[in-house]
Amino acid sequence: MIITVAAFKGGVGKSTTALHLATYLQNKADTLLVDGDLNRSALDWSNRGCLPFKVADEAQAVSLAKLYEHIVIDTPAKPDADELKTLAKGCDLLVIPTTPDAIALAATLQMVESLQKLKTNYRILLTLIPPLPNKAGEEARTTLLSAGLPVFQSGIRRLAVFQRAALEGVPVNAVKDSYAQIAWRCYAEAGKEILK
Amino acid sequence: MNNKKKTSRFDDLIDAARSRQLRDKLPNVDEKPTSPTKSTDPDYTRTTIYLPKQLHRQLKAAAVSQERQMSDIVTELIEQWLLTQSD
Repeated sequence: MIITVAAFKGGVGKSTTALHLATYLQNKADTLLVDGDLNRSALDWSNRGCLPFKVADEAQAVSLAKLYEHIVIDTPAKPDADELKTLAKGCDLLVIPTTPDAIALAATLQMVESLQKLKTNYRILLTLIPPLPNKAGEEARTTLLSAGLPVFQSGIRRLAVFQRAALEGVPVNAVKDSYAQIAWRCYAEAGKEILK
Repeated sequence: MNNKKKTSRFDDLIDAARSRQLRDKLPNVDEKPTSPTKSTDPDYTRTTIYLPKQLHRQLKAAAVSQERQMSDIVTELIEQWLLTQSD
């Protein structure tokens, strides 16, 4: 399965999402994470610590692709039109992470609009959802669903343990923290939805 | 990025990934019709019984040579025995 993670806005958890979906998929079959972001944040993450799957940039990945069952592609913030077209048409599922705030949602709607011509299979993943009683997550979900857009049932909570994971260079389920499993379950559920 | 000809730097990657998937399409076809196993069938329960080693070995050999499952043979025997108990 080829999964692309893309968003028009930065800072919405794109690399975190790509990395944790790859972690989930690696439990099922060999998975390659392609760091297509020119910031190379996923490569940085893996260089700092150790990740349970292979990471490569998009050039190295060409020869590696045949060896892996699942390929997750992380993309640059605001991919240019041609890149988006290639990725949207070429992947089995496009995951669009978005935070539940107006600016990110507007960027997401803009992206969805540009995808409409491409007949892409895409799904929106709400990320960095603030804890209750803040209702931003639920409100954003309602907005997206009432616009008729496909949204993951699972949402990713805003938890500090994700930053610790990045710092330690491991997926969140490898961090020793009481919130690690809670954070991991967010992505494991999303992964389950993908393979369903 | 010096991608003058290609439309994007991801083209080669998608091509490579796609061709790999196409190659896998054929063997996937014959994966589906797998017979259901008793281990996943809710109508079956797994149990442990103790048999003399020699008897177990004989049962196993007979089952293999007849290409039957030991479970089925034992089920058949127990059903027969239960019938004799009822009268």
